[in-house]
Amino acid sequence: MTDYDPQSLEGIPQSGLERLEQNREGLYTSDLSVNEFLLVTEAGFDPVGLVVGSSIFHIGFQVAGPTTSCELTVLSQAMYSARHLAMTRMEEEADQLGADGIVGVRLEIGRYEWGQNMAEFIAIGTAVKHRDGVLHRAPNGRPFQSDLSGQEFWTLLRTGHRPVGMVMGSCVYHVGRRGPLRTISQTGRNVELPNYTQALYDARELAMQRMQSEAQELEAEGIVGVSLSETSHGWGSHVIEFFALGTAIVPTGARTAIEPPIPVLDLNDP
Amino acid sequence: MGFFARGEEEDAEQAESRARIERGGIPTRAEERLRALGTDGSLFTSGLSVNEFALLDRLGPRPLAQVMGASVIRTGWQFLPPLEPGKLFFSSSSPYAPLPTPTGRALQNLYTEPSLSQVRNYRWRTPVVCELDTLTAAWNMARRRALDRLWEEALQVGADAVVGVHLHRGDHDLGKGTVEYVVSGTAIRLPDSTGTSMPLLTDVSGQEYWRLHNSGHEPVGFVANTTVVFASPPLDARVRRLRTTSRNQELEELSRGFHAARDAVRAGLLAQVADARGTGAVGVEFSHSVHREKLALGSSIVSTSARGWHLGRLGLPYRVTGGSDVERRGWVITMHAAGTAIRTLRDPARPSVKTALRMGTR
Repeated sequence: MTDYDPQSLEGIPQSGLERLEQNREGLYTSDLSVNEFLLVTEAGFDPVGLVVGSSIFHIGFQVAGPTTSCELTVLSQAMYSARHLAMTRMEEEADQLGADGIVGVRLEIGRYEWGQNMAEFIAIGTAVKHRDGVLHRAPNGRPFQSDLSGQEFWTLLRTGHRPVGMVMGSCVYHVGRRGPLRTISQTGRNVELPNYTQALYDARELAMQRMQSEAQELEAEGIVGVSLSETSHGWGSHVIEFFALGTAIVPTGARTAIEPPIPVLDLNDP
Repeated sequence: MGFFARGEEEDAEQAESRARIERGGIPTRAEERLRALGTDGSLFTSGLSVNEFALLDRLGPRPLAQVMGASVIRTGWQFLPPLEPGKLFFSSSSPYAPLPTPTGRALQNLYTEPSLSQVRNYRWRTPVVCELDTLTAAWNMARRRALDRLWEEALQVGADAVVGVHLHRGDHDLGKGTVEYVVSGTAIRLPDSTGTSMPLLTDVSGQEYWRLHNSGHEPVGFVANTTVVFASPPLDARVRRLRTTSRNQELEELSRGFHAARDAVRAGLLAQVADARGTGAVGVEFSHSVHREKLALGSSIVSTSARGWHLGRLGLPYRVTGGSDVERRGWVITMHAAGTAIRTLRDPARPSVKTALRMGTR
């Protein structure tokens, strides 16, 4: 990605700019639930608006030999850049609202019938701003992003950490089939298939490494809530996407230890 | 983008990683990354939710890295257990007839292939409920190897425990008859540890770990087991069921099959708990899948060396053809169970539990 200009608004359409202008006048929208809203407010933040970013991407294709295990860089880059574009646009909206960050970010991939090799990458979240103007942005001056819910945001601040960004790593990998000779020589017994195992490992290694290097760029202390998912977006059974997504956090120093929890038995019927 | 470029020395590294995997280890790249994560002051990655993170933070342990293990196993051939060797009967007029014995004139164990009548009987009358050893071994081997790799990774980062171990049975269609396990968890280090201990695996979450810890128990290991059982009704039962299809009836062999599978899984878990020196297991979750399959009868002579002509006990020549082409259709029941073995410390504290009644609408 090229260097980002924090003042840039180029990804946002005109109608979006108008909507954001309204938000800035004091009216806000948010997709926080009531409980989340109360907790975010308690933590000293006010919601300033619902922000979205989306990118419709044409995904190219790539051919791999049937027995080679390798990363499909074209697909990897497509998934990576598309998500990045959507997230950057969302961030620009938040930036225009003067927000400190975005909580509750959801990353979704939509597929439509009208586009064969197209996918829409959508990022939605609620921009929040600190009430007393304490800067909570990421070290590079951009609003932080996090997929934490309002409750998690509150808890995290209590442990003396704050989110600085959503970090992700993705890798699309082609798992090579085994050659016929090898298949025949091993018939009849339970055997491990080392090339498949290695392919799963490689894919995960690449995804995790990318996520880690993003976190290092943000000078984070660590990443919480990493969700690892393996999907094959209709590319056939031997192509998998390994996707790691988590929230990078940094210590704030303002550590208020959470009170000792009390075991509670809920007597409501589920 | 240099980010996605692959280097030249990739091939040598790939070969090295491949050799390590064949020995049951983890690839070089994973090892290097995890070592770096284990050093003090480095970044940590964790699959812990924020709530778990907060609770563990209060308790003392700190997360080090998210660790994973994977293994793909191709299953071998699975046969049904062989029939007993056939009995040889002599008519009294035969010159080879032995003297009558108190138990009758049948001679045991002369003929190593099932007789035609045995095969017919097997097909029509005998319900089959048996454990499928090859498939059972394949599942257990895949999980064992995946967990071993997870453990190896935890060892590399210098962890004391891995919490939230999650077993994921892969559903990639990587080929016919493959069994795949991917396990992941978060490696943690206790406050005053040297980072040289043997990591402990457990599938309890941060919250559950906290509760166990508070009430005076400690997890001692992760236990998991799989059993595959085959249940097949004989042909005559199937014919009977077809004729009386409007009636309610129990499918006895399926009931027996499920029972046998649960029993075997439970026995395996108990043995593992005892091995881990636990006093019990908590959070054991059973899951199962059932599919229909046709399996062939394993002949009692699987090795080719037994085939051909042999001399019996009385000097009678007999021939082993090795072909008894009996197949049974039936249900294959795959039963999985996983849980955490715990040990009760000397003085278990009774947790004081408050009850609450929410007054909200939901």
